[in-house]
Amino acid sequence: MFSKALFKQSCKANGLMWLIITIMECFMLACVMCISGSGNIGSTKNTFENTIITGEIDSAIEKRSITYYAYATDGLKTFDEDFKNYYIQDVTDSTIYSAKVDAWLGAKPVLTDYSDQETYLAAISTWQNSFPTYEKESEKIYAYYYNEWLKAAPDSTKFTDQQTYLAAVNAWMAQKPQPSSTSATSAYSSAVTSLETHIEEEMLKVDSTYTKDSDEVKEVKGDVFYALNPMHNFDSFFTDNNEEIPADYDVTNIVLHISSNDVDTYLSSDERYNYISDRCSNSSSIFIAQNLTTESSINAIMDSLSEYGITRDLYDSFGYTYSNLKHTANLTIASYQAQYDYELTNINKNYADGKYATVDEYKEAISKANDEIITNLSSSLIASLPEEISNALEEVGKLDLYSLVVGTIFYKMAGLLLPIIYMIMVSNNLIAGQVDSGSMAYVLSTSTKRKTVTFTQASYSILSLLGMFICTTITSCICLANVHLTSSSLDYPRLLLMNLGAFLVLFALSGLNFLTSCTFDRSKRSMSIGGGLSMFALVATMLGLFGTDVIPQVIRLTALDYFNYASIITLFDVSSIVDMSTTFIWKFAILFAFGLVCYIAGSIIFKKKDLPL
Amino acid sequence: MDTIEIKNLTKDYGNKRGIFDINLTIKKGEMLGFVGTNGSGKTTTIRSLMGFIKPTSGHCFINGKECWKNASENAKNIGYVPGEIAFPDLKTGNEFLKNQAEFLHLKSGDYANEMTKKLQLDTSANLKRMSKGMKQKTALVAALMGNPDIILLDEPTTGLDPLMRVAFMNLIEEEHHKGKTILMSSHMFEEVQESCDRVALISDGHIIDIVSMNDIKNRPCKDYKIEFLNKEDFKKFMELGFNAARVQKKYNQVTVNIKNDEINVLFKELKGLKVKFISEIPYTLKRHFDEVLKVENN
Repeated sequence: MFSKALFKQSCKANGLMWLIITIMECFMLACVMCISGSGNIGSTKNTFENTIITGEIDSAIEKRSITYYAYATDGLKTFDEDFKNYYIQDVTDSTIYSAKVDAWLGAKPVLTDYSDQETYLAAISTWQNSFPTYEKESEKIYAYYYNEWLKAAPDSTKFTDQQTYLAAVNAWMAQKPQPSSTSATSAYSSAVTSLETHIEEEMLKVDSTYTKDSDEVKEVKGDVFYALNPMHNFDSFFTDNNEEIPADYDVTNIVLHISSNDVDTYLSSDERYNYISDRCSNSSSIFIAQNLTTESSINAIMDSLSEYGITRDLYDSFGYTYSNLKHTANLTIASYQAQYDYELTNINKNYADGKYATVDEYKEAISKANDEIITNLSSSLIASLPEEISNALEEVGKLDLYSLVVGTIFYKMAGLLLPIIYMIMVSNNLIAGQVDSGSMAYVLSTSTKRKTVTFTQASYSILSLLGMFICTTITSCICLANVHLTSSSLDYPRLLLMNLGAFLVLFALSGLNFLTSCTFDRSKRSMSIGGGLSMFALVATMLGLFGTDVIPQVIRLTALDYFNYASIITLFDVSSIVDMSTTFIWKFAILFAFGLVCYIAGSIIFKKKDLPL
Repeated sequence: MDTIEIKNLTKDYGNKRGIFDINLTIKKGEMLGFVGTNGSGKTTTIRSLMGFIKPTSGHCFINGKECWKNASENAKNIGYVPGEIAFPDLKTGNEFLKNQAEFLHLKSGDYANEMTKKLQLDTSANLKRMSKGMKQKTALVAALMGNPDIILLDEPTTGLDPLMRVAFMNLIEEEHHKGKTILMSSHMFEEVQESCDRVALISDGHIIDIVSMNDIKNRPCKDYKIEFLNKEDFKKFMELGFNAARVQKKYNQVTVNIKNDEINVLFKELKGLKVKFISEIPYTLKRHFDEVLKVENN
């Protein structure tokens, strides 16, 4: 089955060619891998890619800043409105209640009215128990302050003279809780509670699956409440970020304007609007800067960017620090405010001119303008370009240039050329060349069977190609170990698969050439048909490359894709290897089967045909 | 059993080319010459014997084994010198012979060395730069080094100079004397008639005639060409009634066919006549075949 002498003869005849081709192939591979891996190749692409990515991140930050700012301003406006309503109600309630309490205090039993101490104490006890009951929050708070005030009443026994006692009593009387001031406290607390409910309701409108404990709801609540900072509960938020603690949220002005009966005008005034805006823009930008610099959110960002090949180091180099983020957020909010003001003024003017038939239309115009401003401000580089160009740019950004160069350009095309030339020459030399010249006679006249001849020659053909690709595999692994890649998915398993793929392509094509070599008696015919088909396959692959999706859309020529259907090399699916999908496996199997069938068919044909020896 | 037996062998290449209904047997130890013009089918017949081509019909056997099916088995006993010498892609003659020895599983190269000495062959020469003669000799050494019983030679002497041809033929005759069965094709009659036992003539794919060289050499009558000095003697001789095969009055020449045992009668008659010269015209193979072909064409 196997002839050592013939194998040796084939080695001697083709060994030098094998050596030269292998050295050239490995040298070429090393050059391609080292030069394109040294960073020159990717720099343009990386700059480009980074511009796109930072653009995307900026846009996300801007969008979020505006969103947070919008939530905060909306929250504070709601708070103001609620506070106003609660306050008016509470003042009414607590005034009535305070009258009751005053009446109750006036009914305090006097000692002189009682005969003995005992009955007096019993009366006092009854009196104390008859303190007016409270139901509402405002009444409760008034009662609390009232009791505190009562407890602080000056004790006559502690005073030496009547005069100082009276002075103390007067001072104490001045401290008496007023419904107007206790109502401020109760209304504040009620407004805080209802604000929380308001946010939850608002968030439910955004997404009905949100609950009170959803991260998103908590986040918005945090945003709004940091802006409000009720009772200095969130001072630590500011101190932790080395920021100034804002002053107490101003309700005094609301109370004042309630008493002066122009509260509604005040709440919709520019003065109040600016106050809320400043407060919200400050806290929102702190909030977003703090939020995006936490470890967990950076990890989340890294996850979504990993497909672009962004590493943590690279991300850090983009400079998304706390202060930069805050600055960006501040700027965005400021320009949002300015644009919104401008648009609002226009709309209001139009409204005044009667351009909007209904209030709903007017409100719609406002919300539309608002959306437009947000879109404009937060639009990324990609979103601001026409869709086709932005898709193309995104593709370029995602392009794994190194895998493309090594996998598609080298292993699937340029690197195949030399082995194909070797394979064409060798396949021809092994059978047809020897039949054509007649030297095969010396082999066959020595009781060597034809089956042995084909088996030995096929073995030589396959083993020499295998040897060649073992050399390229080793070369490529050494090169990969010596280049420092920043953004390529090319690793050792992929590299091995690429080498295997290139070998299988050569196996299939050498099968084809072996078949023609076995079929034809003339070298020129065997070479021109087998070699011609092989070269056609290679050239078709080169042309077809410009139609495949590995080429960015901008320079892709879709029509050339048809060439891929005419070439067996297409079955070497580099994209699938790079993506590590399983498609390449069955394509490899087809290549292998094709080669095997060709080799077997060649052997059978050679065994049966007439030899002109 | 005949060593080589060809029965109704036909290989039709179309357009009347090929060989048709060839029947030929070669006994053990016999050397057969196979003569014919270029393209008459000599090579095709030999290729059939080697099992390189499959006959359209008919069979050929070597030692009783069908050639196409048992090609590799038969090859063990055959030394083959192809008509067109082309060596494998190796450097020197030595390398080639060593490689061939490996194919033949030969343990020693003594016999090959002996032959190269006899042929005065420099085997260290580059195969590509060898002259035609050197190539031919190398091929012969390669064919004979395994000491096969049957030797098939396809026009082995074509392109050799006369001296080389002699050395070459001597070696083949030596093998013949050792009892090897030899089939040698040639388009030169002289070559085969000197050394072969029998000669087959092939023309346009058909065997025209097979003759034993003994029959040619030991014919019962011979032709003699006689020229007389004058017309009178010529006329006198013509009147004697010898069997004249050819008469050339202009030159006073006559060619007579004389039976071997009547040769003395001729000399007796010539005694009184003035003879310019007398020579025997040898009956060559060529002449024989010319005559056969003449008959055939008529």
